[in-house]
Amino acid sequence: MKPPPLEHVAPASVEEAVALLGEAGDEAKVLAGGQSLMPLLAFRLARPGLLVDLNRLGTELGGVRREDGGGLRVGALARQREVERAGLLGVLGEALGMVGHPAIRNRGTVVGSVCHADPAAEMCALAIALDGSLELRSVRGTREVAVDDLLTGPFTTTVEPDELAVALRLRPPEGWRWRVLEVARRAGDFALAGVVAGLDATGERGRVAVFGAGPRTYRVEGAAAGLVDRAVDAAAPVGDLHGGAAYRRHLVGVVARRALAQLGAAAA
Amino acid sequence: MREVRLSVNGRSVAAAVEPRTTLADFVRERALLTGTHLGCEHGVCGACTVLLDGVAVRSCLLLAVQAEGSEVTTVEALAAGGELHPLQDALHRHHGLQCGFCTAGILMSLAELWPRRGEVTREEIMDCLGGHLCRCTGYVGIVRAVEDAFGLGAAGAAG
Ligand SMILES: Cc1cc2nc3c(=O)[nH]c(=O)nc-3n(C[C@H](O)[C@H](O)[C@H](O)COP(=O)(O)OP(=O)(O)OC[C@H]3O[C@@H](n4cnc5c(N)ncnc54)[C@H](O)[C@@H]3O)c2cc1C
Ligand code: FES
Ligand code: FES
Repeated sequence: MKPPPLEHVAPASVEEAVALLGEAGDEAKVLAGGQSLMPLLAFRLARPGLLVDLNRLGTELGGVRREDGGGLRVGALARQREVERAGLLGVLGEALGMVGHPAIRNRGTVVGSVCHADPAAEMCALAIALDGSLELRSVRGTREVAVDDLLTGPFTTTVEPDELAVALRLRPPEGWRWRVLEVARRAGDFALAGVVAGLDATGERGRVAVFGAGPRTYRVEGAAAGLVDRAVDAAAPVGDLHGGAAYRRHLVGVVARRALAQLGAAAA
Repeated sequence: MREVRLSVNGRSVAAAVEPRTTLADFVRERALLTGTHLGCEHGVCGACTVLLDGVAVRSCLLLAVQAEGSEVTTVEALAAGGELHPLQDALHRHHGLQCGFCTAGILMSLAELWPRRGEVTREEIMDCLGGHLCRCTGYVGIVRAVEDAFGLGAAGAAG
């Protein structure tokens, strides 16, 4: 289907974008790469009166760079392909390679994926695994919120309608190693279940962030032994024609165990 | 209505369109180039893939107003001189198409990689083909054509 009637503005500055969102409130939607929003419009699942298009803000919102202290800052208009190719963080590139297809990643943004909050999104899991936070700007001011605190349910977050996410910060704890694994029916499909797993330098403490197996991505953390069971216990998958709930729950255990074993966890 | 001007295959096209008009519909109905096909209209099938300033994108997921001032390249540009592009020629020789519905999109995704032939890996090319649905061929002919055109050697060989 075709998108419903709408207005479109492509502001020339972040300030203007934020002002537009402030005026329009929940009448407006931010348009980044459009790789999720455009399908929603085509299905008429979203009917915003106004699209506030970020695509002219490449200078202000583009780019990915290292920050002091070992973190990474991904601008709201940094395309997934560009971030994948920048090669600044191995696990980020690997996870992006699992997002859709090259032509989708040519437009789609990392920040847009986090804002979209698909429970099966690799980027949401990666963000909560790596202590990610979004920098949110509105006419009311700026706040920085942990992605783990923002995700409330399927496709829902506590980002307010007048807020613009300007960047995602990732702060992987020092010395940890990471692995992303998923099971999908075909290359590029959303995962039936997947994990971003991490292990500290001693191999004794770890984290598992799970996607595709519940109303939102979630994370378990602690002693490496027992982590797999905790990840499975917290799973609340919904079955669909691609895989039943029990199968998806089973897959959480399989990919979590495999990822931790590949990282060298003894008791996984 | 909004006046949109962009370049399609080197030709300037201007038209007044509703902001909700997709680039795919602009190309088909305003530039009158119907080689760009619309299958799913939500990004999954790949049939509508075109180059936007040299980068492969789904034209069903882009608004025409967003392409204002850009250069759009469609399948019609490939055999511009009347001679088949090496990618088209390879698909033809290896039976890489039957109905042809998916072909334009596949060609445009591959066209993004074509300037880097010689250095693109087999994995990268297969990843790119993975973004396209073909209901007819079973993909074998397409893969053979791509191996031939990109000089990858037969399936199973290193590369
Ligand atoms: C065929 C296909 C396959 C896909 N496969 C996968 C997959 O395997 N895994 C996966 O995770 N995703 C997948 N996707 C989704 C894709 O990765 C999107 O690129 C991504 O979810 C959204 O990024 P975007 O920049 O395109 O956002 P948009 O579509 O532009 O926006 C998405 C939502 O986020 C909001 N938003 C975007 N940016 C901001 C911002 N800066 N501030 C506030 N709100 C904002 C928008 O208002 C909208 O509600 C797929 C999409 C397609 C079409
Ligand atoms: S029509 Fe655009 S991807 Fe299917
Ligand atoms: S040739 Fe018919 S869909 Fe591919």
